[in-house]
Amino acid sequence: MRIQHTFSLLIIPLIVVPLLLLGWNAYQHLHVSSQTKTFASLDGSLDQLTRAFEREFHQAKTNLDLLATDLIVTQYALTEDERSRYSIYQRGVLERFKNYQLAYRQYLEIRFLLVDGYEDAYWGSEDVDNISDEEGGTSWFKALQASHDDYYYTIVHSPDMGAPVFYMFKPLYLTNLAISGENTRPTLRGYLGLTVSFSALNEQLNTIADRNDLLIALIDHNVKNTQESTNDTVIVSRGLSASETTDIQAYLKAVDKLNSNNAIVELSLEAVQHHVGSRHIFGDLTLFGAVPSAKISMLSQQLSTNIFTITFGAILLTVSMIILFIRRVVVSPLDKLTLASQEIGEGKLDTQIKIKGSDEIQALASSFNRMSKELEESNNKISFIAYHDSLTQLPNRRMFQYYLQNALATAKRTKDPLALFFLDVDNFKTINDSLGHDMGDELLKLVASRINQSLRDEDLLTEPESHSEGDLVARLGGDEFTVILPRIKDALSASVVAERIIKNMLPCFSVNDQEFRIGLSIGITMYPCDGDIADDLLKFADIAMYHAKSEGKGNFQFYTANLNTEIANRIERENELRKAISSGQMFLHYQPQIDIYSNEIYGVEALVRWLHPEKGIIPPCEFIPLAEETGMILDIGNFVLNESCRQAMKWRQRGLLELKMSVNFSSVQFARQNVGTLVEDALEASGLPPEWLTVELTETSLMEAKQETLRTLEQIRDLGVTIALDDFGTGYSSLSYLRNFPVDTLKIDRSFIVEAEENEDVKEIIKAIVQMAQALRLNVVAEGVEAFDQVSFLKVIGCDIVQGYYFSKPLEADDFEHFAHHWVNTNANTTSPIEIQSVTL
Amino acid sequence: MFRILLPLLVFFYYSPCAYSEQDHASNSPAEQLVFLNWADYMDPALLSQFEALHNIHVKQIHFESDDHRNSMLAASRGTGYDLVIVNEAMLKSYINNGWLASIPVPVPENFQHLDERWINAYPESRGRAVPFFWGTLGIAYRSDLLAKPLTRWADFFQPNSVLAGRIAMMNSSREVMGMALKTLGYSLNSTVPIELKKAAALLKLQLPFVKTYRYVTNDETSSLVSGDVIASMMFNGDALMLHNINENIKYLVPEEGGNLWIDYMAVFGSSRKQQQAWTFINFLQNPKVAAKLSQHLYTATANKTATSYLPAEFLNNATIYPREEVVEKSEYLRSVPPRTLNKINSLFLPIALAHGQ
Repeated sequence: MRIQHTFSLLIIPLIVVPLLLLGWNAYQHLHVSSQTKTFASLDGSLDQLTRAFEREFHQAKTNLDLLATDLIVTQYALTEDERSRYSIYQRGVLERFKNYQLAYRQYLEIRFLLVDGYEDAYWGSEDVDNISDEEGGTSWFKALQASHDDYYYTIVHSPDMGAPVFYMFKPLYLTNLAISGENTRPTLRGYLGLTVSFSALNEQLNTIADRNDLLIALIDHNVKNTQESTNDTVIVSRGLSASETTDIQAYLKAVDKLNSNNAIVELSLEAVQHHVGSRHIFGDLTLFGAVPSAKISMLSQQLSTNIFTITFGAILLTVSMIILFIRRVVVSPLDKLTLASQEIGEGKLDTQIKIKGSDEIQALASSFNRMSKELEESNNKISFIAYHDSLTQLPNRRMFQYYLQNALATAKRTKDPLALFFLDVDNFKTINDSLGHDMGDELLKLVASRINQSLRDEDLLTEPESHSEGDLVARLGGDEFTVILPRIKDALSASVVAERIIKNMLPCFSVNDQEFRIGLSIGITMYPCDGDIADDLLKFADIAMYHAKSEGKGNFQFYTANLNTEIANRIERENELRKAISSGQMFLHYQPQIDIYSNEIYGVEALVRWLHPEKGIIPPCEFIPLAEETGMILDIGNFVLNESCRQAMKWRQRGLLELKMSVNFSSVQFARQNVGTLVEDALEASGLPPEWLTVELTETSLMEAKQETLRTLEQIRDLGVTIALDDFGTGYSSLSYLRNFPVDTLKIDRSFIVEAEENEDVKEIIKAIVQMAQALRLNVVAEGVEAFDQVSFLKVIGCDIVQGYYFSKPLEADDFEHFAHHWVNTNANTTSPIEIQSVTL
Repeated sequence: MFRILLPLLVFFYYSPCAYSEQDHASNSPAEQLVFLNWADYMDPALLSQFEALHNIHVKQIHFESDDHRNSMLAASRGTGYDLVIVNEAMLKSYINNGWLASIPVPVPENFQHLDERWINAYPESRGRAVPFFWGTLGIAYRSDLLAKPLTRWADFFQPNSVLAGRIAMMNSSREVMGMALKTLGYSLNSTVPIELKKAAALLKLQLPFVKTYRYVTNDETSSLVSGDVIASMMFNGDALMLHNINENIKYLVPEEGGNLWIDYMAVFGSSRKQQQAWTFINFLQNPKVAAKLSQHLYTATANKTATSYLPAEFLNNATIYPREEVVEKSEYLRSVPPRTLNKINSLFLPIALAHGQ
């Protein structure tokens, strides 16, 4: 399961369940509190209004008290002479009234009434038109007169105002100290009165009613007693339709019901169920506030809807936030990491993850980035190592192949020609063998750098990754290099480059203060003329290179189709030969050498044979030159030496034969190996006494031999080993010269023996050779003897040892054993072995 | 010990000094009379002369209008002053209120020069107050600032737009209401409520033209001189004073007739210097002094003997001594029933007080 789903399944219930519980709980709580709040708001509104009314009431009282004690006012009231009162004092009094009225705008009228109701001093607000100045006849004045309270108040529909107003009067009892004695009781001088407008209070009431959506009514239920017009009943109201006339009885009932405490009761007002609260203000004034019961239930319904919405909104929001959060903080980075890992797996090592933050995932991402970077670096290192030669730092074979493929693909696309050089250092093996591998390596480095320098600037090595189709120099291994020249114009251009390379090799190479001259052989093949497959092209270039070698080294050759078959055969043979050596297809034949005087087997010559799995036995003349050329002769020579020594020793140990074993050596062996040591080792390994071994080498190679070869021969002879000179007579050697060579035996080349049959001159030469050998105390062996006449002739001239088909062809070891047994048995006591011999054969 | 003693010594050393100085200051002019008077209604030279003669200093306290004076007296219940100038309409209230002292017996010698006419004009004054000056109430106006001269109260109460905000009234209910009544063709002593209401309505209509309900001053600082006010209700003497400052200030008693007024001098019953006060009144009724003061104030004196000291030019000045037909059309302010007074007050005061003066 995906991590996001796992998280979600785990966390969502953890959020949803508490939120639902919370929502339900909140609903329960809020429902109750909203009801409580509604009632509290009703109570609060009623309290607020009550306070406002009481404040007004109280303020009116205070102001009346202040006016009643004002000196001007009291002086005025005490002045019994009306004329003086009006002419002298009234102005001051009215100024007082005016100032009060300015300060308290709700005081519509301020006045002083005489005891009979005459309006003695009057100040009204500008809006008020004072119609009557005799209030003695009004009912409220009668009530005022009848009242014995300190204050009298009532609500009237003032005829002056045309609206309900609040009247408040204070009877003014004063003692005129100037006239009366101190003990005189104060007498009633008149009534100070305020007319208070309800408009400000009404505004407040309306505001409160509107804000809290209440029905509010102020009722003067004094009417119960006075039975005045019902219009006076409801003074101000809000929210009740036709409130002034309807349901007055219901309100009055409420008054009875509510009476003392501030409880809220449910009442049917105007046929609608209401929750009603009330406050007694003062006098007979009662304030009512009502909330329709339906509104409360509607509120809670609305509340439940709100809470439902909020809860589900919160759930939705939280869950989606968490999912988003998980996705953003965990899943998305993990996805990125996964993707990046896949990319790295696919080899895109430069993958870097961008994850912000400072959490563990970010830490993971940065270690991932570090890892990927290190991977990339080490990969680069590895790939460099993998694609480059450690010695010369040139691209190696793998890189070369990769590059050649690419270059070919490009060439095919652009239809440009391409040249491929195969370079091989001439005689490098010799140098390597003689100077040691370290020197050889140093030399190769120099060669590599000269090849590089020889290319055009743009021919310089480029990385395969760059896919730039520049020239490439690669080292295939050993002393073999390749050069790829993409986009070369034609073969001529290629030859110019090849020439330049060869020319650049001409100056001496200096390694460890030694100077060398080295040549390069270059084979060139061209795409598309020669082929369009990389492997083919490389093979062709190789072939061309061989051709160059065979043409004398230090030159370049283009590949041609003819070369192909020729060299292909050769290469095939070479490969076969190499395989033959390693897989033991080489074996030895042995050809006896007979002492024709004693009629005894003088020795045996080990002759190497190649048993080709398909072609059968291949004679040495067909593969020895190749072996010499390729250096495989060394391996073959070793094999021959060791095997023959082993065989000779074997025969000796079995007491069968005591034979001198002749082993052929190539000049190449002498040039590249310490043959002396080889021989010594072989003798030691086989246990063969040195006097029973003969080392054969051709006359030609002896003549070419350098001083070192001669020293080696001396060394070998010193061991006790016999040295034989093979193919004598073919090399135009000076006989006198022969004296200086460490040679024990001469083997007359078979061509002399064959020619001697018909040519008397040759017989003379052979005779001379034998004579000379005898003079020099050298043994002489005649090879290729196939006829009795030849044996006779040789016997006559004194050549004692003969080898050839006349006696035996080269035999396998076992066959040779049989031959030897037979020879000993048949010819042991024969005086004329030749005859016998001839008979048997 | 010394620390406490020293300040005490210092205190005792200085305090008698301060006391004696204060004592000396009050003693130097041996007595002082407090005279509640209109502004610029006295010749300071005469006061000096009086002080030189009797070693009595007269300190004047000025009021702006009858109502102002009434308020001041109402506030102090008629105490704190020795002498007062009171007009004919208020005289009865003051007497009724018991504020005024009786003329002493024997009557001060110069009172024999008083013209009986003015005593008889208000019989209540007999024995209580001494007629001082008399004159008319009319309109003072800037003739140079008006296209044509004013002739009627109607021009004043129902003016044309030139006078918008350029009219000065006075804060006296009887006088103002009286002139409004005159304008409407009623008696200035009318007690008919409907007439009074009409007069009040006229005043309300005039309000936009009224700059002030304060009586303009009669010196160089007057707003009539500056031209802020073009026309003003004014007593004839004040108008003449202003005319001497700026001859473009003209005075007239309009065609509807004006108000004939008499100022009385009275002594407060509450005064402890009643004798000195009568001495002062007696001094002022010296015919020569009265004549001098009359000329100083450009006002007709109630001293019959004094006229013989006045130049013919003065006596022929129509502003000072109005012509017979003017006198005929004009009325004295008679006492009206108290409740009428109440009515007048309650009609006029909201207008004047609301105007904010």
